[in-house]
Amino acid sequence: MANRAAAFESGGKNDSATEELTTLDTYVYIVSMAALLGTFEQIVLLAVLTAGDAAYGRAVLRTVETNLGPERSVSAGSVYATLDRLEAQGLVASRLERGTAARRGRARRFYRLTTRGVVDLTEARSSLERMWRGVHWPVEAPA
Amino acid sequence: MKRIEPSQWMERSLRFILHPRDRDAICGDLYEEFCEEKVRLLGPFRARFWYMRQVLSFVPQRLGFVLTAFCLFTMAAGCWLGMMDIILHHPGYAQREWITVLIVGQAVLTLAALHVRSLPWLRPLALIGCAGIGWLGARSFWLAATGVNFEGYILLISLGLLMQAALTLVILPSLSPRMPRRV
Repeated sequence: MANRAAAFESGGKNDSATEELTTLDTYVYIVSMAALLGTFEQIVLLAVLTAGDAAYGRAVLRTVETNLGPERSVSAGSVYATLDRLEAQGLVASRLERGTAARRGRARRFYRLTTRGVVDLTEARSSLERMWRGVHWPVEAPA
Repeated sequence: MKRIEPSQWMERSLRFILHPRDRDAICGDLYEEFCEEKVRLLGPFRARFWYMRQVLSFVPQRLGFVLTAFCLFTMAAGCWLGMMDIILHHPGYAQREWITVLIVGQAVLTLAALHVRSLPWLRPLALIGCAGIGWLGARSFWLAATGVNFEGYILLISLGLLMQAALTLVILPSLSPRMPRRV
């Protein structure tokens, strides 16, 4: 197994290790990589987390916009699609509450992180921290 | 002083695009943001432009719904053409029966690839098939448009096939196996 991991990490340069790879290994590797949260998913989860009890759609959208800065434009479609996907994966849960006159009585959907959401977010951060360990900052461009 | 609100047609478009589950909540969120923030920060004109951009950002999510509609249309059209050929027995009907079977088969395959996420191997098959119906649609369209006898229904079905092929090419490669999208 260590050999197989070495083969993946060497990008196939280590020939003896590459020989050990099977289709199943490749499949397992791809699936486990797909299970990692994407950057935008992490941003949305963090926005839900920081908005706390007031994490309804608009608040999440504003938090994402504020944190990404004015130079990056964030569309509502991408934020709601991500929330939708995270909810389908069981990482966030939502509930509807009655709307106010400021929104013509339309309902508000509040989001909160589930236990699985917290675990996945923590795992994503730990993975990134492990990856960055030993890398000199700022990263220098190759000559 | 009259409150500046998003245009009614844009709000209607947004409601039309959105899944019924999200209509109230998302329309309300964007309405609130528009009235309370964007008009003040950007002014009415740019705020309306912002609102339109947000409406357009929801369109890609609903393309699956449009593809489903086109698949159902070509499936129904294929069944109808097949039935007509069986009843009327025009010369060369046996060959046309195969074409209708392919049209219906491709529609079923595309619907399965779009909705059954647990079978990702359906997607490459549907993509290969869409090249076939794209070619068939383009050829039928050309023949119907330039032929001596103008047959409107062929033109309509061939346009349906072309749209199905184009939407399949756009949507299927972007589907993620983890992403149960509402269509």
